[in-house]
Amino acid sequence: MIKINDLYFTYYPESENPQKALTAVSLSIKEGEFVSIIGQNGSGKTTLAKHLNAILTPTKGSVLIDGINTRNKENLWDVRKKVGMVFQNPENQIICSTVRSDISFGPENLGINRVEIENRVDKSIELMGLSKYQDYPPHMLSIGLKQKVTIAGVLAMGTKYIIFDEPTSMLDSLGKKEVFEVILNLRKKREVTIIYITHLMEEVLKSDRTIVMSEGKIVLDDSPKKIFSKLKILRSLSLDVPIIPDISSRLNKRGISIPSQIITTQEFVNCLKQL
Amino acid sequence: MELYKNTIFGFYREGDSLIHKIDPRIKIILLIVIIIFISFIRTFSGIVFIGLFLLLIIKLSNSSFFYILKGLKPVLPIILLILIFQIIFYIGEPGKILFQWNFIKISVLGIKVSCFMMLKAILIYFISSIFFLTTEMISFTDAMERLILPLQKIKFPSHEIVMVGVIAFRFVPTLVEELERLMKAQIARGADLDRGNLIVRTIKLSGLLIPLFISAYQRAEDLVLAMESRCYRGGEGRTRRIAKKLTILDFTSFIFTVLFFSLTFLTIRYFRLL
Repeated sequence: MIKINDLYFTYYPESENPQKALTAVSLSIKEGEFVSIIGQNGSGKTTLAKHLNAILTPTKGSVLIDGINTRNKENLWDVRKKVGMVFQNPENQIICSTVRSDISFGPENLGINRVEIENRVDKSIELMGLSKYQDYPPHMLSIGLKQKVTIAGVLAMGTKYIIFDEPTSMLDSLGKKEVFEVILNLRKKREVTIIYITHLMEEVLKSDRTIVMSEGKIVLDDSPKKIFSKLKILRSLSLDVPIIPDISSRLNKRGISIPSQIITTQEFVNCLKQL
Repeated sequence: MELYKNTIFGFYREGDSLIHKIDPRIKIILLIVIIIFISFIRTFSGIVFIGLFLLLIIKLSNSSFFYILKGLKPVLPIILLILIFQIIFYIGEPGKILFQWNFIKISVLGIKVSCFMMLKAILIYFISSIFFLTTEMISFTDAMERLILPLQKIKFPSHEIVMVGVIAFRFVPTLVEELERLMKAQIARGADLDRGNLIVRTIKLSGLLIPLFISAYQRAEDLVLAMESRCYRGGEGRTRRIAKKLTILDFTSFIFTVLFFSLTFLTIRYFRLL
């Protein structure tokens, strides 16, 4: 379980203009959850994510990963063994010259034995559907495949929690779809907790729980269904609203009543049929 | 990727030849042995011996002599320039002088020694080309790491040095792509990068270097984060994937080459050819 207690974080605290990035953030994430985090640029999503694997440590408050405090430098590697992170640009995350050697980079760092490394690498290559490409140099792959390589690299480390920091935002539409499908599969197949930062509302709809951030604070924390029934708040934060809740609210204004918890196309179609 | 196609950097050619199969560690050692040997020879008969040996290796590696020769083309002007300078400024026992003007002296011996040096340089080019044609970059860096890893015991940062090499090789195509993007962006805004003499073009290209450097730094920063979040902390406590075992082929090729060179050396010595 990840537990964040009253977390404050300020960039450049010693300088003339310190920038407050997080204010009084408290939350807990249970094992196996798929949590999405949304918010405008600069709302503190990435800063929060970086606290989870101890890239940043709190100015005030605490972050506990399975009871391990990230503030303590001695715990750094224990925290990172538990929490893996996939960043936005796959190009800058691939370290080695072939797909296979890059995926084994993480497990090699953990110092586990060779046979186990090969096993883990094989498994994550299969899980990501990269068998065909394992001896390819990364620059020969499409950007979507590159992102799959970075995900495989984190999976091979056997981390319990994986943070995705807008993993699809640099991909083309096909790549977006493929990578997100792979992430959804992960959620089905493995007992891995997913913390997913995104701008795409279609992706948010698939999560168990959504956290909305603004100006370094948590504004809403609920199931996507409930979040998307609060259109006024979302619009006031200049966030995109998924198309179905948007249409429903417009129809409601014109006197056609559609329940606010309807957010998927299928639900919407069924509801219209009953009218 | 137009630029990348023209770069001959690490131009590995896939193949299934004997030379391809030799363990890269052995190949590196042999490459060093051969280069040292080449730098020691002082007679044309020595050059002929090595030349024959190289022809044999080219045959065994299934590559073409002319293909490797073609790779020499871009550096040919530089080699010729060095040759001319060497002939003009040769200092040593003058012997028979063919032409003299001020401080410039051209002697028979000067021409002989300079041509000899050039031939040696070409031989070294050939043997290293064969090496890189038959060895993938990744197995090369891997072998380098294994070879210098024992030096870690005397506090030599072998792992770190190899890691820097690995990352540098990995980012060559990425940065070439980036450069190409920058060039296209400049061209789209009316820059004319192809015209002008060498100096004008160099100045124009320097405008691309600054954004290229900035983006390289940003990439480096991202890379550090990615590496650290994957638990990288230097070579200590790190395991390596299953190592390749040396085969009979490796031993035979090693023994054959060493024997060949020792015999050549002894023969030349014996007949006073060196």
